[in-house]
Amino acid sequence: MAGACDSVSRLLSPYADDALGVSERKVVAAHLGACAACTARLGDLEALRGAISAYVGAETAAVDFTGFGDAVLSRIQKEPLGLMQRLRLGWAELTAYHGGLVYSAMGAAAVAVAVIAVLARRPVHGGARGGADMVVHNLSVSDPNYESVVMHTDDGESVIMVVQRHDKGAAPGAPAAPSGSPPAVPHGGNL
Amino acid sequence: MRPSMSALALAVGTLSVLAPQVARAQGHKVQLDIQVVEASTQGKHMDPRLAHMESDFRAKGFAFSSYTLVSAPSQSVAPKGTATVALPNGKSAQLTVVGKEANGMIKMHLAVRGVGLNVDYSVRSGGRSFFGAGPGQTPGSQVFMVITHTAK
Repeated sequence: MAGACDSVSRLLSPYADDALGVSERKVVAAHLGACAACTARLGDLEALRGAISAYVGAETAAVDFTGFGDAVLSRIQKEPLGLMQRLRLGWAELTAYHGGLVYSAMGAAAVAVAVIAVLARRPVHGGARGGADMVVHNLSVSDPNYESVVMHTDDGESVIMVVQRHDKGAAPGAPAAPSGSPPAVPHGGNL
Repeated sequence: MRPSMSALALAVGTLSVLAPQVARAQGHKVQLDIQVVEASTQGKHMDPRLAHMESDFRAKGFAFSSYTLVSAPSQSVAPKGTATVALPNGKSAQLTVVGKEANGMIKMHLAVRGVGLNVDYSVRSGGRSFFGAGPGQTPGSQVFMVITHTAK
């Protein structure tokens, strides 16, 4: 029985704590039913546990934890962060919470820059020399006696004429209806 | 740090990259070579320096038979600067270099006093433009400016 007591005595403390598995618990219970020494040892363990629990309970009850959290936080000093550290933290925060939006915006911006770069290098207007010399953004004639006529040349050059209003279409030397050429544009536009 | 700080940092970085290019695009002078021409349906005078104009105009159906080069001023104009050109019909033209576009085209403004013409246009460096400035001094004539713009 001494060998059985040795093996069971190691299990008495977890048995008292209800921390054993079903099979081990059955073994210990069966042994305790036939062993007065182990039963007495179990009684000692439970008594000791009760005493310790009572002592700890009494000690903690005597301590006032009111304001403990605030007191700890107040003693934590705020340390200023460097610019790069703040940038890293900000970027991490931004990508953590709005990562999809940030990367989508960056992608859209990259596409926009690429499109603008392509458009900026593209010839504005086709012509015999591979591009327009001139683009008119705004054209006006404030004098009511005159008005403007815009014509193109075949090699991409532009002619902007100012003719007297009553003479329009019959200005000296000007073609009334140039053959084989686009019609005159009376106002501003892409030439 | 709030996300707005990152946006600010990104904006500052972008500006630091783009600003020199913008400044470079805005800072160069423009050489304006101007031919003041009086074209007329009367006479047969043809200045050989205007052969290109006569050829272009004839191809477009203009009936001018005489092309006289009245003056040929040249001026280097800084951005925002203005060149004034006197015209033989008593009017004057003011050419202002507005700036330069990102694609290299030169932004210009032309105002012709006396006829109230105002034109905002962009022109390729080396590009030539023809502007009529109203009737000339003699019957059947028109005053033109042939302007060649060259970015320096």
